[in-house]
Amino acid sequence: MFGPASSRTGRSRAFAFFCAFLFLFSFALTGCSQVPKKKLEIFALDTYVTITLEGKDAREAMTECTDILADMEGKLSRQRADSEISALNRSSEESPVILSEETYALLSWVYGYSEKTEGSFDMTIAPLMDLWGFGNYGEHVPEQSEIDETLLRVDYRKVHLLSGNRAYVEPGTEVDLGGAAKGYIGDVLMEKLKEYDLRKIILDLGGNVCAWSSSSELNIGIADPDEPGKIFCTYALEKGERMSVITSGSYERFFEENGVRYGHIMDTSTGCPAVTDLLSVTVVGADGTRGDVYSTTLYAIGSEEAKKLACEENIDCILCLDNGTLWVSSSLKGKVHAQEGRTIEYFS
Amino acid sequence: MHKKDGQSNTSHKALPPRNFRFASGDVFIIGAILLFCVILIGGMWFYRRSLSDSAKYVRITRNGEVLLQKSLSEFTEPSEFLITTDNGRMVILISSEKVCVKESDCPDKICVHQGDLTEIGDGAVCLPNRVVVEIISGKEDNSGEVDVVSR
Repeated sequence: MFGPASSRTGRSRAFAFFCAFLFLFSFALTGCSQVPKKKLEIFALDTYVTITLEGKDAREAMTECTDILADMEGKLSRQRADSEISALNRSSEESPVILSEETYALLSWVYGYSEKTEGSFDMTIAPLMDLWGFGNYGEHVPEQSEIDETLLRVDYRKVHLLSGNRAYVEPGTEVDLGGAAKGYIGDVLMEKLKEYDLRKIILDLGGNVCAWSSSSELNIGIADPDEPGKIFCTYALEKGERMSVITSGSYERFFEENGVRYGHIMDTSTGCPAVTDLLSVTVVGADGTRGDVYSTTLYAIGSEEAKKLACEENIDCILCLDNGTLWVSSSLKGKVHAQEGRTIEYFS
Repeated sequence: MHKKDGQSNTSHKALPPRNFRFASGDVFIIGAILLFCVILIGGMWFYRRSLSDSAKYVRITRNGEVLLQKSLSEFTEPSEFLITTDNGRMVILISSEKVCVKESDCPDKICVHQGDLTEIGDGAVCLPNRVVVEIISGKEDNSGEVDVVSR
């Protein structure tokens, strides 16, 4: 414009390129380069599941998650007549079932755990829960004779594991892997998701949490047993840390009769709901299956026994006592933050 | 570098003096592009700001289908939201301060036991009825106090 024709053209061209660049840059700012995020909220595994994924492969990874959930439900759900567990519950010595690798592996693991706790945790607890009416509109306090009779059916040793992934149950025995399944499925999902390019994974399987993030710290809240819609403390998950945070307690699933509260977590020695000084137990660990079963066991045995067992077995946990205090494993110091008014006592 | 008198300092053929103004076509095109960029960037900025509305909304879904999604501030009087179910009904009480499942026909009443929902992220789920009652924020990504709750 100010010089000869050739330099004027050159300058205009340069300016035109600049404008084009600015144009494209504006598009970039409008978010075309944002990291994909996917959120799934469905009823599955006989509970409510929420999965949040962030990362380049979020879409494909979510599809894999729904496939795994469907597969697991098909294998493990006692509510489905066509599941492997239901087939196991209809089996007999004469006609054992052949289970898939995963179901047989989980069954063996839970059998081993039932054995280790000497039946305190028992995967054949279902008849007792049915008797007390949990989940079937029959909630009531049964007669002692009914309890005694039902207790005869609760015995993990009546499940027989054979070679070749085969197994059968004695008459009257019913296996329910619900106490370990969600923890196990969380582990399966997390393992599979390692194959995808993701930067954040949050799994909420009916309240069982499994999470990991490479890009930020995550805050995992823990439900307040006195006000389950609220939280009473949080666990700070570091960047890159992968943890399951699993809570057990009878504060959500219970019924009241004559002013007494009866929760769904059973004491297998008495055949009645476990009544102790604990309101809830939260186990934090990389192994979700272990966390799931231990949270139930620790809850059922009361604070002192739970503290002892947690130390013996190296379980990191948060015990919420009925007096409001929190007993927390000292290895969780600095990671657990209680809401106002709550005192934490560390133990090791 | 250019000289105002329109003459280059290299040995070119002498040219007649040119008009110092931009050609009007150039100005128009450049101006239009710049204006477009400003509108685009400005629009995005205002959109993002409008999403940071921290008002609390109640959201009730059944089988994933949204039955109700409203700002709590709209409930100047407490009101009951009734859901008819296979076995009876669910009653959800909503006020400007809180939401709770007042009544449910389900066997375990876990949803009722959740108590009052008051903060963003609080929720109650009724599995048999496949109903979810929750308090969500106006923000696009629901960032409450925590990322997830273990229960």
